[in-house]
Amino acid sequence: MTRYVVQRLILMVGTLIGVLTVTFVLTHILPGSPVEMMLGHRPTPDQIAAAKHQLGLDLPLWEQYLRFLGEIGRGHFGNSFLTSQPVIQDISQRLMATVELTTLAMISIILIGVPIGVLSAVKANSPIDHFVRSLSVAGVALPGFMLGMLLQMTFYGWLGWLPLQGRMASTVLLDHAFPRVTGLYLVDSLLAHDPIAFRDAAAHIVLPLITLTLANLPLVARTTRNLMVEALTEDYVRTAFAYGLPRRNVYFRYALKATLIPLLTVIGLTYGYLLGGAVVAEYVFDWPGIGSYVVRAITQSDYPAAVGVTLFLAAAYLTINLIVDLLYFLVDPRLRRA
Amino acid sequence: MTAEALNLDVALPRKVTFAARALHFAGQNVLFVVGATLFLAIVLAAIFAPLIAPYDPIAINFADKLSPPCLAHLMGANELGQDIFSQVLYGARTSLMVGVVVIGLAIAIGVPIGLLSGYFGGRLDTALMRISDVFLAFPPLLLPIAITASLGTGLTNAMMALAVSWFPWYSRIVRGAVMRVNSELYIAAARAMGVSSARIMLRHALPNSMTPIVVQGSMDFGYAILAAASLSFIGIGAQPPTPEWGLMAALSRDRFLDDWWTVAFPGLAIFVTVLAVNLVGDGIRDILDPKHQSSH
Amino acid sequence: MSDNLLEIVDLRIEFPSLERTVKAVRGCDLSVIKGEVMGLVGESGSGKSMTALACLGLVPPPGRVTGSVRLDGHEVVGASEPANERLRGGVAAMIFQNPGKALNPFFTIGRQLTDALASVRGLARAAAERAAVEALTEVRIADPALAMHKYPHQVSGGQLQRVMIAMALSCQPKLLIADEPTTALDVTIQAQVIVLLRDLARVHGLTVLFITHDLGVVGSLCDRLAVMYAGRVVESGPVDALFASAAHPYTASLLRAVPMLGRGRTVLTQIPGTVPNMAAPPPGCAFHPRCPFAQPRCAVDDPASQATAGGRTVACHFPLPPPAGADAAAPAGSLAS
Repeated sequence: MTRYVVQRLILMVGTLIGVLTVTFVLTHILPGSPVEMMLGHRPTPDQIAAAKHQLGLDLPLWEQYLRFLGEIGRGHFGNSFLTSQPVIQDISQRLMATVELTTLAMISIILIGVPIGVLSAVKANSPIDHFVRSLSVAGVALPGFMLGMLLQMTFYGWLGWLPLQGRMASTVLLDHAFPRVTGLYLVDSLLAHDPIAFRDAAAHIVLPLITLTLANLPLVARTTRNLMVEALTEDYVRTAFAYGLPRRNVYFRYALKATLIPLLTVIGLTYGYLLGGAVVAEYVFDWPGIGSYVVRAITQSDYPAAVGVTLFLAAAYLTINLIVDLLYFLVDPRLRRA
Repeated sequence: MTAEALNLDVALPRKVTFAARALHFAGQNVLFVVGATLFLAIVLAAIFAPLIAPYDPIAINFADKLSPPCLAHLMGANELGQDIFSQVLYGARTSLMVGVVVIGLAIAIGVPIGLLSGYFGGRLDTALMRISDVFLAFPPLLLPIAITASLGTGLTNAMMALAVSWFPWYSRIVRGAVMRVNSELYIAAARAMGVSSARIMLRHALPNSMTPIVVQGSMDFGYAILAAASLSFIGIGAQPPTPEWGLMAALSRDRFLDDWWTVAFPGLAIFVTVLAVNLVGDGIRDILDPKHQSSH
Repeated sequence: MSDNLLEIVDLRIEFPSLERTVKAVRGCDLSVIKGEVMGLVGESGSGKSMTALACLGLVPPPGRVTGSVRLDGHEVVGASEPANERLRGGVAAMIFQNPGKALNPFFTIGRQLTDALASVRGLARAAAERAAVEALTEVRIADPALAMHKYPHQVSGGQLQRVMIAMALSCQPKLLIADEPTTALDVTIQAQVIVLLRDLARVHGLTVLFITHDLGVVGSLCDRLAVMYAGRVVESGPVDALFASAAHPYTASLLRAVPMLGRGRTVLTQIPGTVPNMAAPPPGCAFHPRCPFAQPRCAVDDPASQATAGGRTVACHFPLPPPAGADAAAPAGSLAS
């Protein structure tokens, strides 16, 4: 199995180089020059030329490409044009915000979606099943930004229960500075025994969390349902019933295990959708994560930032998929070389 | 031993009339029928938009600025006084076109690649699949954002970007079908007889992959519309004055708390359209792909 | 009738759908006496597997079950699910045809055995493991302790069937229902499994309902026999008596169709025609289109099951007479040409 992992890692590196190449091509096609933007007030042609030379933007394209690869290989992502900080620093500052949001969403989706799917399958073709399936179809049709704004309208505009946007109220942040241990505000505020900060962080994360969760819940629920319906026709499920195993046990242990492999694949895919969805959700809720960062970077031609984050996101996504593939071995004993 | 002894007892199904069958179909596939009806309504609305729309969608009229839904403006007006109902109607044209173009392009790119990859196999296959992997490595919206950002914003570029990030799915489907067909004996026979590769691919491999492509395409149609609207919302897709639902939401974003109709109706339009398309897509899949039939 | 461990009266199982209703079982009467090995014989589609499933309330939806199935005095048809759950494994345990598919590939053999034991006998983990190993030893699995940790795909078909038998045995049931346990196995393994079942039944005083389409197996294992055709029991009685003089033409045809070694080259007589379509069985006696002795009445009246001498029943208007000359050693009218 180690050989398999090594093979996959090599493949991953190859794919990442491909991703890099595509990103390079994209960011260097743009006619508008980032240099002017960086230099701010009307720069002279000499200043521009000097800056270009410094950034290596006046070299022939293929040379730039090689330099580019070399820099990335050494971990030099450069400084963001917009923040003037190293891109790596930008990413690390904003990373955990996105991780907190997407991870919580993933957990919610699994904890809610799978049982709903199982219930739907067990009572296949009953009114409950039809209801769940209808909800799923509807849920997928609602655009993420629409759902987000709807939630804002309801819970902030109309009911006034929850904040509009952001990760924490600035007033709370000032008065309750808690040490950033993990970068996950919910965890850190608990570790610092600060209930006010925790409540504030929780209040702020609820709406973006619901937005992301609801958008991707249907896929997991439906996939679970369809896979379970098939699994329930298996002979070994009948054997389990024949020995009087309680229903709940049979559904959630015996039958569900059979669905895990395809289900894991869908969960991996869902994580990708969550990363994409986070881009929109962070935009709507002004969430200081990588999603909003990458949108700004790309729309404002912040090359180093754009390259850095794109590469990072692609690597993260590939890693998740690799982990999912490795989990297959854990789940299905037939795959392990005896 | 009478002749009866050899009679094959074939059970005749109960006489089911066409009407009963149609009703049974409708009953089993209620959602599909609802979706198809909705979809038809939307298509008609799009086609006859110029006739139905009470106003020119881009006509500015400050007098009616931000009026809530009323008789003169069924869905209200935005901050430029433009009639939202008319914009929504014209937006239907845009969205339907987006769906067709994106899926069409994705299929147009993906199918040939899949055919070549599956049929010739070997290094060509590996190379093409590795390239596809690169496109699949980008989390969903990221590549379209990057592509449109570099090529420039605008609906055309957004559509091309979406197609480019989606074609790998279709090439995979086709490749799989081709590889399955390839191993059939009659293909070897055809090749032995000297039939050209192109002919074999087109006449045998392609028809076999039609069903999964249709199923996938009908399901992706809705996602394409959603993705394009999301891109427009972030400011990367359609640009003013194109009537596009996501763009409408983006332009009125700051006002939506007070003037909810400026954002609610475009959003509702997206929801209803994608819902209809998905219902139809699900129905098509249920009909064409017997594995998915739940009750039978 | 209290020494009938299993009493089935007028069992009917239907599968309705829009266009047709398949009547898998059309009025089955069967009783199994405590301590005996009862064979249930029939071709595929005769309804024997469904009958077996009905004994434990395991008929899959959309099946509709009517009639009466009394297992150790408890009525199964229409009973609540928890009531039936209590019967499963403890009162009657079932083993299935394809052990490779009947066992869960994701769990070890030991795990599945202990789960069944925990559910049926309420044993805690350690006790369950001991009982499982004991059962595996009894079914003559080599190195039972090691087998506990193996997955089904790592074990051969014959061994897996022993595992299934062990699972059933360990639950200490009163009735063992075996649904074609040897059909999916090689002939040599078949023999082993049958011998095993016979010995175990004797040692534990098990009552067995053995379902098969193979008459040869029935002969070596069973005390009594019931023959099913098109969803009904057409004949039943002690095995020796039935083999000697089958009363129902179908049984007789079946016996004639069994190839016997040592008889020289004989023509294998088939039964002409095919099994009837269970959505629209023939009127009257379901066998009449294929019956060499059919009379006009057979196409009109569906014969009821009648009790005859020697604890036998037969459902036929014109049952075959016993052979002239009480020569039981040379079964006439059936096996001798």
